[in-house]
Amino acid sequence: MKKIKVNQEICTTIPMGSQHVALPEPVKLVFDTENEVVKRVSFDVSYVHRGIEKSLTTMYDFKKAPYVVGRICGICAIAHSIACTVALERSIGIDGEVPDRVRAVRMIGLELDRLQSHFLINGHLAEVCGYENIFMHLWRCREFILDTADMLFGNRVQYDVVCVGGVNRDIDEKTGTRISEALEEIEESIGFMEEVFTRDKTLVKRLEGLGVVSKDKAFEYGLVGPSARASGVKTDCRIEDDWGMYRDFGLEIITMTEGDALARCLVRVLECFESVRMIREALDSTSPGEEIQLRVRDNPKKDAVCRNEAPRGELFYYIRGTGKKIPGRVKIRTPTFANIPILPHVMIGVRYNDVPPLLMSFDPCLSCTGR
Amino acid sequence: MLKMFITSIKNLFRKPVTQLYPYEKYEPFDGYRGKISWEKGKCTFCMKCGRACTSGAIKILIYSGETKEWVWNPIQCIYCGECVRSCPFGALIQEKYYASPITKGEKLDWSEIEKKAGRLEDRWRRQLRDRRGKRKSE
Ligand code: SF4
Ligand code: SF4
Repeated sequence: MKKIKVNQEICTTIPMGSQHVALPEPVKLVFDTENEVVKRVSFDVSYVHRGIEKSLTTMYDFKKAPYVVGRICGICAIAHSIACTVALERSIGIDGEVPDRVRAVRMIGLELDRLQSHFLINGHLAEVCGYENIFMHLWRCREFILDTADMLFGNRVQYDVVCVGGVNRDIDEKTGTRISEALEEIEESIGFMEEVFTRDKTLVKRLEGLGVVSKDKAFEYGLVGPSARASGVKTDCRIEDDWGMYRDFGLEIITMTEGDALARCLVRVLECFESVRMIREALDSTSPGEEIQLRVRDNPKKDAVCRNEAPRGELFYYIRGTGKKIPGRVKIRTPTFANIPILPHVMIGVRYNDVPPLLMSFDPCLSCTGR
Repeated sequence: MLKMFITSIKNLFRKPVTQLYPYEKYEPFDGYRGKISWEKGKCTFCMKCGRACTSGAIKILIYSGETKEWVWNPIQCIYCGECVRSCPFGALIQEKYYASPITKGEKLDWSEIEKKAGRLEDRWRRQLRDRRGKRKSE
């Protein structure tokens, strides 16, 4: 790593956080700036440590694990639950027997979660740019997605629908038709979001060319998720480690080459269209009334990993089964953990007022990282 | 820019998508995760729900003799519905409406209940062990 020289005499130190209006979660950033230009950044992310990994190996048996890990993050709860469940199923050795209906319901949950998360972060990014109207409107559209989730799973964000060996509620015929209607409305609002993020002069001028990450840099720092795809790295764990039916449905990996903040937003917008398509395919592929829960008799006994694509990127779970009810080790690696190391480097040379949108464009989720 | 301007003007006159909750009645969707209700007649005190509960919000107090009690903590519960699915006798139902908050008159001293449940369970286990030991020695 290059050493950065800072002239201490003309430097101003600006702390941002651990509580700040632009930040939805606690993180502390300390900037050394010369006039307006950032010269050095330091980070502290571990404000919300709750010891969830440890509790999984001491307190809760494996059947309760999907509910516990759902509490790691409020926004990508189901991504955590699914990754944990799939890893546990692999550890028990029943991952091949999981019925198609279960896979479909899990996919619908994950994609709905992705939709609301992308609406949330794009709205929030518009807000920190100072464009309050888009923020309000996108969150208005997000309300329909949350209602849809409420209708399906009984909760707005924390779905709690996944359990080891299956899912715990099915989607009946009537709800299925209502979802299809709601999807049309959601698709319309995604179209609106796309138009705003490609045409609106204010936003485009603000975000274009901000925080450019080249493809080589993205490889070097191991970026994941939409941030990597915006730099042209073709990676998506839904295809690479397919626990559902994404390969059968022909999920398209959306990439862009610019690698700036605007590209990261646009990748998210275009992914929303794919998500809607995946939900439609999953609804049509299987019918209600099929088996939704396997009987689990064994305890986890093997080492197993699962890579799942959360809204922010690759989520990694490792579980060491010991043949007992409580696993020997649980390791969680969250997407933001991979996306943070590059931040101090892209922020150098950026003007201070561009820092909040730049930070938001990487979509950091800090309670995941702290867990 | 123009599009956003028009949308903003339109939004000024549109109905809000959220509800003015205390003034408007909230009607949940079917399958909303609400209160857990227990039916005394059906329950056999098999303790399955207590073991399945994710957050330890159900405690079953078995006193000596036939007096038994089923307690549920609405504040600790995460409304996952695992207990409802685990009950073999259909004594538990997840209702559509949420649990009302604990009011002034009621009192729920949960840590006391947890301690009591632990003590009772210990005693119960000891009795069971003693009985088994007696049977073996005979
Ligand atoms: S599982 Fe059902 S029958 Fe058994 S103790 Fe709980 S409520 Fe009673
Ligand atoms: S709903 Fe879940 S947390 Fe609540 S009492 Fe039942 S099992 Fe426990």
